Amino acid sequence: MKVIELEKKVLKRNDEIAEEIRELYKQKGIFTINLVSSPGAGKTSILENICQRLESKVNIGIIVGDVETENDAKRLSKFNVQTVQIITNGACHLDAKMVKNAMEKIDLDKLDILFIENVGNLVCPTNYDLGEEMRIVIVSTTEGDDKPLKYPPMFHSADVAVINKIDLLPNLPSNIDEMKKNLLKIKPGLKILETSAYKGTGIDALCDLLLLKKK
Amino acid sequence: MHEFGIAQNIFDAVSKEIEKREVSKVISIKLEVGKLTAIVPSALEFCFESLAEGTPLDGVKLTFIDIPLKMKCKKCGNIYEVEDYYCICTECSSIEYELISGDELIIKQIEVE
Ligand SMILES: Nc1nc2c(ncn2[C@@H]2O[C@H](COP(=O)(O)OP(=O)(O)OP(=O)(O)O)[C@@H](O)[C@H]2O)c(=O)[nH]1
Ligand SMILES: [Mg+2]
Ligand SMILES: [Zn+2]
Repeated sequence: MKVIELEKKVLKRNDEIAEEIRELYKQKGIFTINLVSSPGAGKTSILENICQRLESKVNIGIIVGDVETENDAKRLSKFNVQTVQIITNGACHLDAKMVKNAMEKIDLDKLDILFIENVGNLVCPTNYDLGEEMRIVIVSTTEGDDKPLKYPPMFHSADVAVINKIDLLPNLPSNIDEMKKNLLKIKPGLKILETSAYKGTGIDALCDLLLLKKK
Repeated sequence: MHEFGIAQNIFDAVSKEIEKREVSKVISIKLEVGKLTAIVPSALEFCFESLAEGTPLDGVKLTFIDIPLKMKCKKCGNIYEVEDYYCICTECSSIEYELISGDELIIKQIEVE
């Protein structure tokens, strides 16, 4: 019996493509954001709000990943933005290759900000670098205040956390301070924003943050 | 079940290696898995078994080395292990850190005949 040392990264290919994409975005001056959350936390709703506010100010592109249907891309196509739907046919996350293919359908010269809406899932997308500059995790008030403690790797990988559906708080037993405390336990110093995509609350602050980081 | 994709990557990488090195039989594959990777070993084993069935990697065992989450404090330079994901310096309580280990997902070595 003999041992062969390999020291090979399992996601090497993904990381390489992600780096390629990151380099390209940098050259073109495009700010990219990977949006992750559990299913239904409000990724598309928040994007609708952002598009409404920013469509006339910056050139926006959106790549939307879903296991099935083009519903999310349809919801976003009513805005003045470039959208591409990726249907993963069962895969529970996007990978860099899928994003690279989708990018071919976008005019990168007419782009300032690119959003990538990942498949709703708080586990599988964690280790897949999509070449993004910022990862935003969205968690909604109905999901349980201890969500961050249940999915530490994903929350740890985020640069910004958005607590969505705050309009529901009066009717819920949830405690948003507890949620924030748990977010900060997993990632001290994490930037936390509160929104209601339904009422439009907190979206301006989110847009400001994006425009600030874009520079 | 992102483990399926991960298993496929491992399968492809090892298949390529054994072809290149003209190895006749692989006994086990040793993986390093960091605490920050969202990998469930039993799920990965299951996916790998299904993939390997009827191939030269049929019956190959996966072994896992858990890599702890370690941070280096940016303020005082202290290197500390994070037990429960709460990254606060054990010396100066600073929350500014740099990752030392914990995000590994590596095929460390293969045991062959
Ligand atoms: N009350 C309330 N409902 C919301 C809010 N944001 C989203 N919703 C509702 O929650 C549901 C899911 O919202 P989506 O925006 O489709 O969520 P998503 O994260 O894109 O979902 P997937 O792409 O399927 O993972 C919809 O019925 C929305 O109307 C909010 O701030 N408040
Ligand atoms: Mg959606
Ligand atoms: Zn310190």
